[in-house]
Amino acid sequence: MKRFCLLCLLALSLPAWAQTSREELLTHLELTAGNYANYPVPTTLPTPAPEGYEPFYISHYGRHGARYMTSDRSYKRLLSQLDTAGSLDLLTDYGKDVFRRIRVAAADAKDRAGELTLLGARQHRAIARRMFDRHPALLRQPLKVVANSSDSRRVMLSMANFCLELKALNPSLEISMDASQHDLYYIKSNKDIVIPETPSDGVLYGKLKQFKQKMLSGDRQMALVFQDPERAVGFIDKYTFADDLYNVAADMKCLPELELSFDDLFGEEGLIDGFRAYNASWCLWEGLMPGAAPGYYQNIPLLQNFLDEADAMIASGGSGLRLRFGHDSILLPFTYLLGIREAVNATDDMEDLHHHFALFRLIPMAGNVQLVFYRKAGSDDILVKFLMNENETSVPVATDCYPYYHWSDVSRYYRDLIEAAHVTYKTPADEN
Amino acid sequence: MKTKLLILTMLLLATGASAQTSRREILKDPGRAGSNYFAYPGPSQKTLTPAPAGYAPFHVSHYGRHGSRYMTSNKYYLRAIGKLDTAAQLGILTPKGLSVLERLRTGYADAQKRDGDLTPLGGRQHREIAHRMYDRFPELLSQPLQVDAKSSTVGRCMVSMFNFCQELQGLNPSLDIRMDASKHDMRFVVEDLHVKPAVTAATADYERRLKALREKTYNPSRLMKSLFTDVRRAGEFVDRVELMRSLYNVAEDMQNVPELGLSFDDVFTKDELFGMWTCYNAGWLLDCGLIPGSTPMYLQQKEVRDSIESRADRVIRAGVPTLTLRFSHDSSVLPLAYLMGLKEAMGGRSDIEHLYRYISIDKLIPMAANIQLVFYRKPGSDDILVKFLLNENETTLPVATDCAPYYHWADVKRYWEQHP
Repeated sequence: MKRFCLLCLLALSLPAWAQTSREELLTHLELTAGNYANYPVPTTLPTPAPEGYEPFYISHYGRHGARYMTSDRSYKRLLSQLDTAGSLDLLTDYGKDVFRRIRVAAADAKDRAGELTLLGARQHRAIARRMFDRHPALLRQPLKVVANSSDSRRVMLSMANFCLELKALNPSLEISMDASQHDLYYIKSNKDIVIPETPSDGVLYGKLKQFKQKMLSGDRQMALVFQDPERAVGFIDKYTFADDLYNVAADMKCLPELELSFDDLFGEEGLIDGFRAYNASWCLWEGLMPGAAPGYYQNIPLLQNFLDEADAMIASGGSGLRLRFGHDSILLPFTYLLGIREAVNATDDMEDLHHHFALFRLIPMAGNVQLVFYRKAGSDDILVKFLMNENETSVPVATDCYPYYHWSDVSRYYRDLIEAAHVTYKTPADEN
Repeated sequence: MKTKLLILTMLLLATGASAQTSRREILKDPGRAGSNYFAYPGPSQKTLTPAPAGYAPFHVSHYGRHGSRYMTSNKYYLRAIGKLDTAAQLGILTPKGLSVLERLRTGYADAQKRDGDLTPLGGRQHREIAHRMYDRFPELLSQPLQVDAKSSTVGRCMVSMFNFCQELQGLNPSLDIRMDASKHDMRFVVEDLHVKPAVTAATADYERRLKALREKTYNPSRLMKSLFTDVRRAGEFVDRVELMRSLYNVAEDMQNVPELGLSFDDVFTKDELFGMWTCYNAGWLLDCGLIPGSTPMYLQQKEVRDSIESRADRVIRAGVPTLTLRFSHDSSVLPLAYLMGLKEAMGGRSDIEHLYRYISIDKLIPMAANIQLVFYRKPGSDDILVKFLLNENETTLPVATDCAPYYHWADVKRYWEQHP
């Protein structure tokens, strides 16, 4: 019941933009890496603020940059499967070359599971630099910068790279960085919060399983790699094989220095299908698909943190920069809570979903949301602008100065949303 | 010439004895009795010895411990609060006991979910060390250098690295700083756990003697009387030595969170602090193998020393000025100091009770402790000089030199080949 109130609020405005076409995917195949995609450099120029308004505060949440796969499970499985196939003389020449490439990639990834790559560090430095370039009047001041990250190393290093770039641009910044359990209740999904159940969640997971099996059937990869795919099926699960290879192929976008690609194993259609599989998965996992259990309830503390800290900054009359670094699994549901147009357009029609909802607009590596606050001398009207991966975007609140919104309207909307959610915390009984 | 060198060598070896520590020295600054909780004191040496004419620094290799931190576990708070709280319910706390309980609760509230985290002071320590490094070697550090920074995978070490690098970046925006904290090279950065030195025969005996020293030194009677009105009743549910140990840890960590404005200095007498400290001091030296005949656990840091050496050799060959930064733990800095032959870590004796007179960890592993190797070269010469700084003070090695505190790198390498 409570959940439906929240959904009603979010459904107020579902604009028809942010659609993805097949042509766009074919032109930018690199985006099919989804949440592995290299951070797309912003394509739009900022709209000037209304007359007399100056930025005084930026509040940010960013995902870590490009990384290695979080586990070496796929490499281990592929190496052992290809090794067995090799010993049985089942590998085609093409398959032997894939095996060779997998060995190179796996050797590079050894003991680096989940770690930030060099590209990941560069992405954060570049985002920081653009933030500086776009708000020079604000960021040239001797500001206080408060940065918190999750306790995961790739996130911490992302924060450090971002902050060092800012420090190089303005040595007078006073930057504090922290990564403590103490702040995880908002930096990460708060697992103590109860996610309301929905009747259709289980059905959707069933549908997703079928959809993924179809999108990553493994037929093409099996035929390319093995001389006798029938025999290989005896010890290789086709779906898992395709899924492992897709993840490796996608992660290569994070490691340009390796100069390795596995895209040839998929072809254009295969890459798009792999993207569609993960696009639907993420959409369901985080509760963004109609009928899914609203996992984003666990990110309400992050929204609360944005609101409370912004109000405190406004009340203080000061200026500042607030940075938070975390993960895709937080950024995605958070953008949904904010009502950002790229996040709120999902459908439960998985075949069609990617036309309306695309991970690479939301959680590529180093994906981020920035709220930029503006004030005007002699007025207490505060404006705010929303940037999704540094492009201006909209939220479901009426405004007379888009892409700027009146903070009083926006914050009322969010506070109502939080109230309507009636967040409850798990009791020890729930844990059992 | 040879005689001159010999005399010099003898003089240098003799200075090794100057690392001695007295009881008075420890008691002068109660923080020093904090074992490895001692907050970084900063260098006592304000001016460094100028390099021989014509020599300029081109490589600094810094190996540091994380800065001031919270206790790695809040168990000490919980144990002490639990016992004093029970005593309060029973109405057997003295006014002082009540006051200690109140302070424990304040300290714990601040420390909750911060186990092992770097404190704001820890961040400042690293920014200050970086700043002094810049001030001391401006000709080197104002260049557009490559900075290779690596840290242990532990959060407080990483945040220490961030603070250090942030300060350098602000001082010189043209620095190209790369930071990493990766499992794949921890054996070169922190420790090589594949090295498992065989336990020596003498170790068990040392452990027995250390245990006896603890039993002799930990005297909780006075403490119990100061906290409880009914010591007999308290004794029924309080492990007296454990309470003493818990309060020691809390009391000593307070210097790392000065913003709290809390002090437990009134809980212990100076004698008690000193007694407990001597046990911690001996425990650390025994654990690392710095006592004659004890298990040479320091061998786990040999890869670290080797990597510092080979890195320096690569920089020398390449001729490109570089800064190398490593961020790690007390348990690595202490053995590394010994492996390098720094005088403060040498000269361990088997006399457990008076061991502190010869090696004292307050000089070696305070919070943010560090060893810096500064390399110098001279145009037209391939002689490389190196200087060792321990906690930013110049120190010596048992290696002959004609230009102390500078050493010929080739001589240092030769010494390291044999030690150990």
